[in-house]
Amino acid sequence: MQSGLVERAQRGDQDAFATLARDSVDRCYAIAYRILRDMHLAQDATQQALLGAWRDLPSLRDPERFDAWLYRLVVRASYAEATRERGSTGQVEFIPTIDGAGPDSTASIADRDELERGFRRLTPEARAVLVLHHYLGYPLTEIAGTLDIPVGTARSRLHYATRQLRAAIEADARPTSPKERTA
Amino acid sequence: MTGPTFEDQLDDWIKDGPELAPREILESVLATYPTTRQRWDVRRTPWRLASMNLFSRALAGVAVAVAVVAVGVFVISRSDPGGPGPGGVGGVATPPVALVSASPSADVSASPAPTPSPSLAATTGPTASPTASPTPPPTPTPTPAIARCASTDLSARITLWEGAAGSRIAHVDLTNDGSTRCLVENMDKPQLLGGNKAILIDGVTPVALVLQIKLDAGSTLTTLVQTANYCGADPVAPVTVAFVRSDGSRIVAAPESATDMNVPPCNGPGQPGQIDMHPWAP
Repeated sequence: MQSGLVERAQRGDQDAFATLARDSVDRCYAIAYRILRDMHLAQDATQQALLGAWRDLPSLRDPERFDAWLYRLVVRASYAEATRERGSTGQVEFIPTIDGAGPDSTASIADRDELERGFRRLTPEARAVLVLHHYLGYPLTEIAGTLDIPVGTARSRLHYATRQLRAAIEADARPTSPKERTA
Repeated sequence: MTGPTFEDQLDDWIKDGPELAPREILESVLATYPTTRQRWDVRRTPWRLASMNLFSRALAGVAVAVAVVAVGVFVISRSDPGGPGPGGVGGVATPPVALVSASPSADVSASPAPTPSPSLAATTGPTASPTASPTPPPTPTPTPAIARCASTDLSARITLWEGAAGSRIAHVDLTNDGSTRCLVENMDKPQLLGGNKAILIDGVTPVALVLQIKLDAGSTLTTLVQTANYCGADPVAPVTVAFVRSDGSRIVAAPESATDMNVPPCNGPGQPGQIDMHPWAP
């Protein structure tokens, strides 16, 4: 059914594209947010990706691959947003709804903070591989296809991204020296 | 019993997060794409062609050439010189009309007339009714130009302050107090102001895709303004937000109350304060 919509949208059918956009926007935003960790940048990336999808849809050769192709646009738009100058070094942090009745212990909340800080230190390319693998559950072949890179590159990128993240968290968790504490 | 592995924790952490996109994204995309031309890939060949051998490709090429010539001869032999309009092949001019009228933003039609889709042109020829009356060429309905809203016609007010860990969020309404419909940009440069109009946190001028929103007289748009990391001196009440428009004019929102002191906590001394806004939306 989706490939039928894609084919119609490729021929310029605006209603078909509107349906595709409605069906895809949440997933695109979720991916962009997880790469960028900033809701405004994720909004911009999602918007750019969807507009790019409409513009370049006629060049999509296999309508069955629409999702993977669209996610590639989202990832590329996220790279662009990540490198774009936003005036200040920090971004407004998105405050997710905190469920006070959730099962998180203090320790796991600390882990999440460490993960957040460590993840933000990764390159956008490394973040994208982690998101495709851990959020979308993509195997390496699918990651490679989505990012248009060889499978070996996807494998090493995933490996190094995980290692870098782990190293960043370990460095973060290392106790500060007395000198640093009194500084 | 072993605890979760690092990969398990990472998996959980990445999966945790927003699943729903803010509605402004879709609204903005749906408002913009009808005026965006699709980029046709002229080098595009049918996907099967790539997997065909040389002989098959040559054969396909010959077949296509023969078909083109045959269609050309057919069209020329059937065309009626006294028919409707220039190039009067009945029905061929109809699809662009459908495209124009289908556009939900026809009054944004500063863009040129839409290019007829090859598929539409190909399918309408044979199916055109021989008894169809001539269709006049499409005439885009002229729409009166809508002016940019004067800042003096706009008023903003904070309707709610929300506190969150490390930040403060203002809900703001923007109303067109003028008597006519006008245009506003969906993004401005936000500022956090003290009661003495001192700028407590200065935002950035938007560089992302800025859209124009038509705002009817008396209508209201809303936005959220997030602020974080204010490390300055105690401000003068009431604290409020302002929006610097692209022409440099500034709209200061009326505070929720005269005693508002909603500045975000200082999270990082030495780091600049942060202020950001959502796009204005109905």
